[in-house]
Amino acid sequence: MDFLFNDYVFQVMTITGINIIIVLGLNLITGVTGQLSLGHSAFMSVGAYCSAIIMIKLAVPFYLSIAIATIVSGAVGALLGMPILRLRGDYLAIATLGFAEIVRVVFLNLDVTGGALGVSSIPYETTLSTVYIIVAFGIIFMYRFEKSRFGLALRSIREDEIAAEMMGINIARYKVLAFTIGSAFAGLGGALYAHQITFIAPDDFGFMKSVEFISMLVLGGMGSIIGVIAGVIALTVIPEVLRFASEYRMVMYGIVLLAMMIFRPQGLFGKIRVNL
Amino acid sequence: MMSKNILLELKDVSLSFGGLQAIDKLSFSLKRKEITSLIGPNGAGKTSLFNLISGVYIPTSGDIVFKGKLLNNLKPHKITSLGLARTFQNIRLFKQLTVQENIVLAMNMKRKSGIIASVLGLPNYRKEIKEVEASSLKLLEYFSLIDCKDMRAENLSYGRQRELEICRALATGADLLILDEPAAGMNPIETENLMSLIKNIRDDMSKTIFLIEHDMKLVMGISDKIIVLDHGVKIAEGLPKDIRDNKRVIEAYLGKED
Repeated sequence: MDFLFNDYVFQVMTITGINIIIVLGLNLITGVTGQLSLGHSAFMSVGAYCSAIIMIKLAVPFYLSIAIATIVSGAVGALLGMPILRLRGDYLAIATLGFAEIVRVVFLNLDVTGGALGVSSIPYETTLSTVYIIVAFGIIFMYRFEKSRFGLALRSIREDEIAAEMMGINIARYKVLAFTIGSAFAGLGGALYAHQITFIAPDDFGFMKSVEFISMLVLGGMGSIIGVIAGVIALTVIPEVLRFASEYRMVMYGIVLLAMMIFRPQGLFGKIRVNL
Repeated sequence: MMSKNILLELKDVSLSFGGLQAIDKLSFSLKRKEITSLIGPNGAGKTSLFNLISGVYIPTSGDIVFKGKLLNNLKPHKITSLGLARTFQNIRLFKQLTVQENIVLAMNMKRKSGIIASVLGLPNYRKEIKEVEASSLKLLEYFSLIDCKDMRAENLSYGRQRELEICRALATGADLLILDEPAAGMNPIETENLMSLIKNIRDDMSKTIFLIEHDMKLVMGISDKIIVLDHGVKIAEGLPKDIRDNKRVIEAYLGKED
């Protein structure tokens, strides 16, 4: 059984849990509310840097520092949400992409974030059990939130924005709400990531990272919490399992995604169509 | 003088898109508990007028007054919260939500529970859910949609989708319903049912109804008043029997005799 219980497996499991938290946030924005975000990794990086820096510089305790990181990321999401959420579909996608690049370049050039060298020697605090307790709370929160009147309003925006507005939904406010909570989840995941890997640099949170999160969401099925879990597990574990294939592994990864889109476009557990 | 009996009043309302005058100095008022129909040839500006009233467009000039409040610069969701709800020419239901969810969503404005109370399932949230469920079921019952409450809205037949849209507009608690071609695409039996439904809504629930319709049988059959629009100008207003014989109306539809 040794091959199942070693540090490597624990780390893969921890990263899987962290990714679940982050993609739950993306699901709220893209799967539930129907707003395509290509900048999700930027919120993850805000949380990661925030928690790492306040813990190193200000010696803030771990749990407080990830809580602060979550709130800060949510606030950044809200601030970004206000000006750009009047955009729709591909325009919104490009705007979020631009925002993510800004965040990356800011972290690359600030002194406090260590520039291209990033932040190293971050205290190692994230344990497997911490992550999965947070995952459990995250899932319960999202499940209940989606069923509440807020979730219903967000789903109605996905279905038909104009009709939702005509039924008395303040769509700008609800979109900002979705962005705030979604970004807070990304920031929380980012903070846990920083205290797991202990070293972060701007390039860890580039555009490809956002695409990876979207792939997980699409593979699992947009708008479905079980889909999020399945998609994250599949796309975190598959590349690890395929390590024997060395350079061919990303090709296989691509083939899995391709086959999925052809044979099951709504994703593994998706029940709805999302027109972005 | 604004009489108490008047729900909606338009005063010299104009709307232009660049050089195109869509609505030209239009004035009229709607009385409470009356069914008023808006008719006119294609391109007369009927839907533009509905979009003005519901806040999609902002009037270039003039005032729109609803329950004594000026609507001109209000956002659509604000206007809805004042008690005015609409349906659309092309059905715009929340297709992948269930029939009941469509109704419950429309009641969102009246709900007060916060995020934390909702997520934790606090007593006041549970109480609110119960109330909303009960009133949504009551409305669905009235529309005989109760048996399909858990179906996705997109799976209803066309005629039922139209009814659900009216039901959803009512669920906002609106006093004034504006219906954009409610009978479009319906067969004669469905239209017949729709006529009695609209009348019942007025009589049982004391609602005011303003509708656009091309089906003259429906318009003549249920309207208390008819307004005729052509090229953005009101060319006639009156009882159905007066409109039927009005020379200008006949000209607008059929053209002038030489």
